[in-house]
Amino acid sequence: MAGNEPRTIDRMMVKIEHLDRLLGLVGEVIITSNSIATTNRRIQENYDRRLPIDKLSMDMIKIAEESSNRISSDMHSLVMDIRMVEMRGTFQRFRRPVRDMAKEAEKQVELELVGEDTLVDKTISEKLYDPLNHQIRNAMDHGIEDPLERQRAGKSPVATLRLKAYQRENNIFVEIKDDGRGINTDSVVSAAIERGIITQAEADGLSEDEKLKLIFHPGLSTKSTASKISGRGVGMDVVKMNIEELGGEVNIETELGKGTTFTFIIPQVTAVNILDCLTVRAGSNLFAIPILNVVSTVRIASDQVHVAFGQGKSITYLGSIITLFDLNELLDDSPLEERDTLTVVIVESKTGRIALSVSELLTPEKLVYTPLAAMFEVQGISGVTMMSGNKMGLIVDVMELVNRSRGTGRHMDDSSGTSASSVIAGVAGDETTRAGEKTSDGDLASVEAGAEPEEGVGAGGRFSSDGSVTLSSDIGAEISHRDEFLVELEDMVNSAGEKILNLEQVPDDIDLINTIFRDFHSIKGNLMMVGLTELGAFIHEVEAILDRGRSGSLEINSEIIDILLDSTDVIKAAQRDLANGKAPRIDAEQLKNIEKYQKPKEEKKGAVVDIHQRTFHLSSLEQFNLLAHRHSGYNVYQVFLTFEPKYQHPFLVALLILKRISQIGYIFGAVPMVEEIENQDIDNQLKIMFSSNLDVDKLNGYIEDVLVKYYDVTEFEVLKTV
Amino acid sequence: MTLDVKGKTVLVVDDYQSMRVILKEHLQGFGFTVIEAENGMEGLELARENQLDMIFTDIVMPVMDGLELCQEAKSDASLVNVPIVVLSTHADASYILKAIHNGADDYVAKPIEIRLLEKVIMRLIDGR
Repeated sequence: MAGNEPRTIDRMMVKIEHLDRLLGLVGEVIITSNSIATTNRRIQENYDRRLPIDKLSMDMIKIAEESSNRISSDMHSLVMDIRMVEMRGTFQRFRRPVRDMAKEAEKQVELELVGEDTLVDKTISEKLYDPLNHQIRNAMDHGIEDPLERQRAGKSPVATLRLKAYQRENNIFVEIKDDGRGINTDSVVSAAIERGIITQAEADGLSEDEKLKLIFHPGLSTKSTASKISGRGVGMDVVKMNIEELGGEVNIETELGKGTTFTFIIPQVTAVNILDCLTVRAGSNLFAIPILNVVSTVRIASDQVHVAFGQGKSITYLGSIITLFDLNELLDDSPLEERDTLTVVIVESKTGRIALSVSELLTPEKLVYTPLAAMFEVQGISGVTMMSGNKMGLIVDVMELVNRSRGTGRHMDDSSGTSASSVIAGVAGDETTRAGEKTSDGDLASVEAGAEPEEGVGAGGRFSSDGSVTLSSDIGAEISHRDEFLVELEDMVNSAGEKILNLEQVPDDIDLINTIFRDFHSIKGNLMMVGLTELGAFIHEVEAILDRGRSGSLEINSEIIDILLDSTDVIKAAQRDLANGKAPRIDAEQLKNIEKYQKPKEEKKGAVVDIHQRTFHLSSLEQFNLLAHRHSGYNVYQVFLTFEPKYQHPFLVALLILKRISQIGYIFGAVPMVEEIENQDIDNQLKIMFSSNLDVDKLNGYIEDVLVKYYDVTEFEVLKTV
Repeated sequence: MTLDVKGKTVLVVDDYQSMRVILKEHLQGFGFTVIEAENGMEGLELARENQLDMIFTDIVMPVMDGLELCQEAKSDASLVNVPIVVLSTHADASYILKAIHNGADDYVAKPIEIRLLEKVIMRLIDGR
């Protein structure tokens, strides 16, 4: 499921107010650090003079400690505030799927979104998407009945699906409530007994709530049982697991025939990166090693350690030789003391397996950890955590350690190991930390560093600019601007998508049609600018429908809404293709749908006026003017022009030429007539009758210098009438 | 055909910064001094404050669109002689006509063909 999601750019909006607060804190850090420096000097001076530490220094240190405590806690809460986002974004993402599913299943469903402004940690909001998606799909598929069934049950044919978010104390509640058929607990129980999950006797002892919660049992989440138990759908166990990963729980309330409410209750913890870890002590350091990376732990006598020349130390584990490192040493700390028995943790990442010697194994723990920000980047450490007993611990980045160990191994020969290795590790490390930031789900073992070798598809999710899309020779083909365009595009498409869903509710809202028209227009402009002319042309067709809609000449029906939504999908797909370095494609089917709603195109051919066949039609007023001009000494000309504009409509060029001629004379008539030109009844020939004070030579010169040079005139003939 | 526009100032009016940036780069490449506005209203104000040699404007913009800008500029005695080129992704006749009827001196469809842009600039600067 997640694989089909469009690649998004990992970013969030930060309020200026927050940045200001951060700046304020930075100021306090500086002040504190200055005062520590001053105190330090005082103490040093006292020490040099063999004086005892004075009261002032003591006080200053105390103050510095207090303020640094306060600053770090302020900073912590500030960062947490910054990470808060509204649930709106997550909720809004379901409008389209609910609409589409309802349509598909011929159900009528109204989606209600409540509490969209509830603030949650960004990670929670992201991690809620999957379980919410699951529950919504289940509700749509199984919970909500079709309109007929609902009417038979005496309900409104339109079902309501409500997503609601709110905060109570430190918990975030997210409800998915439907007014569908509800869950039949008896069927749940009998299915559970049938599957051998519980016995009849056990079932008798269960409360209603416990019976209901049986649906979370993996054995009851299969497709075959799902429909039986009044269908709560597949994967309920996964939903439960998702929520538990967030440290939360799932509650169910159901009433047969009335509906079901699932409630996710999630603690609003500081940062939700939960990782199963093995905690260890190495000297005075506490480390947490992600369980996923731990192969085994062994105790080994120090004389069992192989020391091979030029290859460092190694141990034998299950018949294979694994290089042994001192965990502290590998992290550039002083090595552990020599002991008779070594405690060793064997770890592995995608890139290899190593053994780490530590002082002591502590305990496996579920840890909430905070990833280290880029500015605090420490090689080999991916985050900090609070271990049991309120001790700070560091999360070990195993992949990086393995990479690091390679560097050390290679340079063991020249005994300058440590310094050389840190350089090598620094290089190898870039890749890992970068990828680590991207997923930031703590599952470091599954981080696919370098799995996307395409150029330009870096950590920030930037778009490939390898030119896989054919760029035409226009101005927009500036590759350097393309990334910006595509980022802008994403926002525009999302916003257009939301507005279209709104339009579905009020299809005659001309203002709304107009804003959507504007959105599409801008999208088109952007596509054109980056050289995606075909895609732009496609959007142009869609825009034409909206143009008719906003002028009131076309009623927006549900099929048009579909076309509009589909076209946003087309752009999103194109964007995805671009991100993956593929050329975007357009479905011919979709174009066909669009054609239906377009203005019937008028036939142009055959209407073109043949300028040699037709003479000028002058009104009596113009005939009078003509005589007057001639009597006043002006020359009267007939000019025949053939022009072949490459980049502009012939009718436009014809109009521009007429405008030009009017600057040197007075036009009595043209063939085709101006109305005909404007109606595009023109090929590439034009006949003009006008008076001018220029003589024949000057006129010829003018036509050469202006019309031939700049207006694509290829042939001309000047006739002076007598 | 060479373009000598040293010392000439043009105004670019478009609500999309990215569009302005690209157009600006090209116009500066020709040798123009370029000033920018985000919509017709802003454009009109700048046009009145500066001695302009040409205006390039988009059609669809918030506050005041490009067509209104043409109308306003052409009914202002101090601006009537400043050529206006309308740039738009609308390539159909009705829009071109609307622009011309509103006083635009030329019309260039987006994506902008650089050779056309050059030609249009020369049309409007040369022989005036």
